[in-house]
Formats: sequence, C-alpha cells, structure tokens
Amino acid sequence: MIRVLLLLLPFAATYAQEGCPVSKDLVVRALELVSAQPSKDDLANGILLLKQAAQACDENGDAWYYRTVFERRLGQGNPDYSLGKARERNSPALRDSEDPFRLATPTRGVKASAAPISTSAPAVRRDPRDPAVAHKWALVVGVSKFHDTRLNLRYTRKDAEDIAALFKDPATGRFAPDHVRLIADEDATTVNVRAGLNWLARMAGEGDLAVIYIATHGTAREHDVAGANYVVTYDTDVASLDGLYSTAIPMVEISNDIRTRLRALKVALFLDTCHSAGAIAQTVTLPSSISPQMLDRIREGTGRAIIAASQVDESSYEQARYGHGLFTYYLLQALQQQKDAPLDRLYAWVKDQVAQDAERNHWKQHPVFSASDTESAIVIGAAPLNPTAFFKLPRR
Amino acid sequence: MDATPLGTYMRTLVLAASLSLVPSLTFGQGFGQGIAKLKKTITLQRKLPAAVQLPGSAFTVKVTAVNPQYREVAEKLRQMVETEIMRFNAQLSPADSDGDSIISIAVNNFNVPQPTATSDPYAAPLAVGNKHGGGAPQQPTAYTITGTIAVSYQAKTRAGKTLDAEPITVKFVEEVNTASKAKEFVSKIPHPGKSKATEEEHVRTVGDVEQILVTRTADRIAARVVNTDERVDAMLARGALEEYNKYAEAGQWTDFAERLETMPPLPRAEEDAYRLYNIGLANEALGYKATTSDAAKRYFEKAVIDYRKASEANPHEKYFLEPVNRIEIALEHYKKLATATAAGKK
Repeated sequence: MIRVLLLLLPFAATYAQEGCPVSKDLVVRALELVSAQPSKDDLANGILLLKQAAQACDENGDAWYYRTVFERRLGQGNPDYSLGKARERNSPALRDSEDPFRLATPTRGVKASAAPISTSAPAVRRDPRDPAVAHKWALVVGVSKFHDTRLNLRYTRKDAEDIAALFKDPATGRFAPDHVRLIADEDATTVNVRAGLNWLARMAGEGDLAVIYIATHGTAREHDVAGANYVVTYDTDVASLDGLYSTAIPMVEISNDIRTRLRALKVALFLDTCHSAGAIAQTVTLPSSISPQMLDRIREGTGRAIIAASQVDESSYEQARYGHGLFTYYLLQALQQQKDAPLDRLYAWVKDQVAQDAERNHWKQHPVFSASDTESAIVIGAAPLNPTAFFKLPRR
Repeated sequence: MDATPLGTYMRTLVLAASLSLVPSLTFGQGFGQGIAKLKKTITLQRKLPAAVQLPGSAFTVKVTAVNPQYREVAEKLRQMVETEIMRFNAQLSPADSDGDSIISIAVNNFNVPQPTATSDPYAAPLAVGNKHGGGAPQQPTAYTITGTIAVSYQAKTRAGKTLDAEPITVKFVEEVNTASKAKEFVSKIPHPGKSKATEEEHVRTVGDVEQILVTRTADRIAARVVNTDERVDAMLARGALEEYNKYAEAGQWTDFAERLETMPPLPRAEEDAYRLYNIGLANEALGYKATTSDAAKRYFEKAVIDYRKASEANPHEKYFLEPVNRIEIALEHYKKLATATAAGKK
C-alpha cells in the first residue's frame, strides 16, 4: 500500500494573503533558506519573505526576530528596529536566542581532539571515529491514529513502539529505559512532539548519542513542491492550508533543532514521513519525502546522519505480512542483527533489502542516507560508557 | 496562538481600507503648517468581540430611571438596546420577561443643558463698535452644546449569575461656530454601522442630542454582549507624510508604521505631531486585525500613547485625541476578555 501524503491545496498559495498562518509559513520558507554559509541572495530573499511575514501578521514576533538575524548576517537593513518589534511581540525565538545560522557543533570535517567531551563522562575523548558515547538518548514518534481519522495509518505506531522497545533492550539497543521517550498516537500532538525535541536538546550532551525516529505523514506546502515541508502530528488540521501552517511541525524546525540545538556530536535521524492515508477529500497522494536540500541542511555540522525511508519522489510502503512499514521492518532486523555496525553499514543493508522487497511487489522504494562527514562513527547499539546511564539520574 | 473562540473570530477580521479624498474644512488649519491643506479619510473595519456571551437565544432588557424625569429616556434606551443587540446578532430575540439573560440598566443621570454662548477669539472681526474700542457688546460667535447620560449596566443569567457589569457615562460636546458654520466635535464615540456624517452633522435640537446620547449608550451596552462590526472613518495626515499614505491605503499598516517610525522626525514638534498621529493610526488598525486579545490590547495601548504624544506636541489639533475615545471602548473589551480568560485558566 502506498503511504504518501501531499496536500492538495484547496487554493493556490499566494503569499500576498494576510493572516497569521500564512505568516508562519513565510517564516518557515525563510528558514528553509538558512545554511551555515548562506549566499547573499538567500539572505536577501529571506529578508523579503520575513518582511512579508510581518506584513501578513504584524503580531508574529518570530518574523521580526528572524528578520533581525538575517539582516545582521547580511549586514544590511535595520536590525535594531526589527529586534525592538520582536521584543514588543514577545517572540519565542528571541526568548530562546535562536540563531539558525549558528551550528551547535563544529562545521563538517572536525578533527579528533584530546579534550574531554563531557565533565560527566569518564575519559571520553572527542574523536569522531570512536563510536563510544557517554549517554544515549532517543525520541521516538509514531502516529497511526490521527484526530482527523481520514489520515489514519496502520503500522506507524507499532513501528515506533518496536523501535523504542529495541532501543531499551539491554542486549541490543542498550539505551537506558528512561532515556527513550516514545510519543505515539493521541499523545503525538504538535506541542508534545516539540516538547520531546526540547527534551532531547536539553538532555543530550556533547559526548552523547541522540536519535530521533519519526513515522507519520509528511507533506509539502504545495502540490508542485518536491519534498516534505511539514510533519503531520496527531492534531494537525489538514483541511486547509491555514490549518496546516498553524498546527503541523515544519520540517525546518526539526532540521534547526538538530543543526543548532543538539550539542551531541553523534546524531541519527530516521525519517519515515512519506505516508498516505489514501483518498482524502482535500488531499492528494503524491510521493513526498524529505528533499535533498533539506538533507543538506540537516547534516550541517559534525556527526549528523539521516536515513529517510524513501527518496523524495517515492512512497513508503506498509507490508501487512510483516505488520510493519517496509523500511522499519528491515531497520529493526538490522539493529538486532548488527548492533555494533556503524550506521552507514546498517543503511547499506537496509537499503538493499527494502529495494529488493519493494521490487518483488512491483513497488519502488529506496531509502536515502546522508551524513555530515564520513569520519563520525555512529553506532546505535554501542554501549554507553557512563554507567550511570542505566540508572534514573537527572542529568541537569 | 490563541485558540479560543476569540481567536477564531478575530482571524476573520478584514481591515477594509477604502479611501476618499475630502476637502477638510474642519481640520485643515491644523494640518497646515506647510504640511497639508487636505487630508484623506480612510475607513477602518472595526470588529470587536463581545466581552461576554449571552446564554440562550432570548434576552430581556429592563431599564429603570432613578429620577422620574428620566423615564422617557429610559424607555428609549430599552428599545434601542434591544434593536442594537438584534442588529448584530440575529439569533437573539427580546423577551418581555424571563429571558435566558437579563440586561438591567439604571439611568442615574441624564442632562442636556441649554447651549452656552461663547466668543471665539479666532473669528473674523465682529461688531463695528469694537473697532473704536467702544461699548458695543461682543456678539457670541460660538455655541457649545453639551449633554451627559450616566447609567449602570448589568447582564445576568436567568438564574441570577452576573455575567458583566459596568457603569457607563457618555458625554456629548459640540461647538458650533456661528461665523464659519464649521463644527468641532470634541467627544465622539462612533456609531457602529453608521457614518458620523449622517448621525451627527445636523445636530441642532435637544432631542437630537438626547437621541445621540441614547444611541451611544445602547451601542456601548450592545458591544458588551454581542460581536459588533462597524466602519470607522479616520483621517490620514498628508503633506510631507503623503508619500507613505499609499501603504495605509493598501492596508499595509506594518509597512506604513515602519516608514513613519524610521524616518527622521519632522523639524518642528507641531508638524512631527502628525507623524506620531499616523503611527497611532497604524497601531490602531493593527489592533483591529490582531488575532489574540493580548495582541489587540498591546496595539491599542500603543496607539493611545502615540495619539497622546501627538496631542502633546500639537495641542491645537483636537482631532488627535478623538480616536482615543473609540480605542478606549475597545480596550475595555479586551481587558474584560483578558480577565475572563485568566479566570478560565484558573
């Protein structure tokens, strides 16, 4: 069964429209232009989008705040003016001092360092080639049941539950049980998923491994846009663009969390978001997975690896025979059978298995791997060095 | 994001920026100073959410008069409140008694004194006798018409639970210049859905003033209990500020405000007052567009500050303070809504 979702927009998205949902999407579009080394054109275009965002919804403090950030980066405009407006409008991004241009880790290609990576970790050295980590943390999200029942999926919750269980298994995943947060179905609201991302960013230190697994719908903002711009949560309203912009999680937000907030030098993102609930009145099923451009942005920094379930123009399939999505079925097998293998080797095996299995069913599905560097050895099943990781001890 | 019904309601707000050019007889002098001889009138679509929601579909309006002399006014007020509530919410209908909600109003004071005559020092030379410094008495050149109504209003459920209560005082002041026939309205509270010109342009009799006071009071009460929608005409300063008015005309209030806030202040304080006034207008317009009561309140408070600054910089321009009246009504709503929201959170 094809599990792909792309919203059929009830009307063409024209950004001359007013309204705070549209304004939020304009901010997302501006943030999609962010990279560690942005071009002047990208910065100028971002500022234009952010000005439109403020015009569409003056009270959107984040539009003003990010305009300040872009203007400062470009060295043009009146950043003090927009910062004042952001302050008056209680911008959450300002409150959190967000800077999408500032990476949480060194830029790609960082070399081994002799400095200890964490005061709480015993004698761990910052050598990206070393798979050892002090602690391991995982946020696992799976949504089968949605508030809008037309979106319901069959196996995404089970996919997430089995992944979380494997992570907690002391023989395979080796994550401390309280270091794995599973958010499923009605708990997987936008607020809760955001809280989960915050939890991960707060908990995972430099010497740790952070893993994010997300299985739900992904959708582009427009039918002619390649790549998922938004991740659909339990309470996302897909009946209209306004609802989508207001209630889904922008992919760029997850991207920026990984780029700019996760200090862990080893981060793995498993993204299975190109699902479809089939024929939905106001949606159309078109292949949509994470775009190559988004992959490029997420992997900025050090030790970032992303495995997506399918290519941008492909679908993710569910296999009733396995009771799982095809991708997660083979991922689970790989993690069980090759627990000490680095992520790139796991990926190679999963990719082959998924592609061959899909082909036998006359489907097309090719998982995608992208990493910030080839030196960082990310081993999901590696035993954490810090023994306290297996006890319920507050980190901070 | 405010996900309350208010948020839903306010999302539908449209700020219509219809524009007309009108020669300004009344305020032209103020906008002069080399800045302008004409002003543009811009229309703001002003929707306000009700401060409280009436339960059920039937409501009863009871009006009492503290003084027997006010009985006639009290009856007019009762009828007008019923009319206004139904005008803005067709789902509600009046019940003689035992409605789902009871709106009780007590008229505590009503006063429309005889106009007072004044001499206008700025008027053209008057009596011939004055030329010779001699004894001919100066003829009055202006009349001031005033009126006041003070009521106590309370909305309750049939079971007696208080929904809302507020003392309301409405004052009317009009100066009629007998020389120029031009008028200055010192205190204006706009009438929802009606242009001020049709309502007030031909005020002449005590009865007219009484009608205006009753109508404004009814509007204030109706606005507490039903969502209201009105069009408000506002002036745009021109002259040196003309080039930015296109943003206001297009409803681009954010750009309009930014241009005015980032331009160098005009050299003379009384001229710069018009820039401050336009900034206030932008903030007021943004307040009507706001999607949350917090945001709306913030914009309105800022607008009041801007208007007051403008008035301080140029006290001769009475129009600067006029918008404060209409904003204060809106602010009352949002304060009430904020209180209700806070109570709900508890």
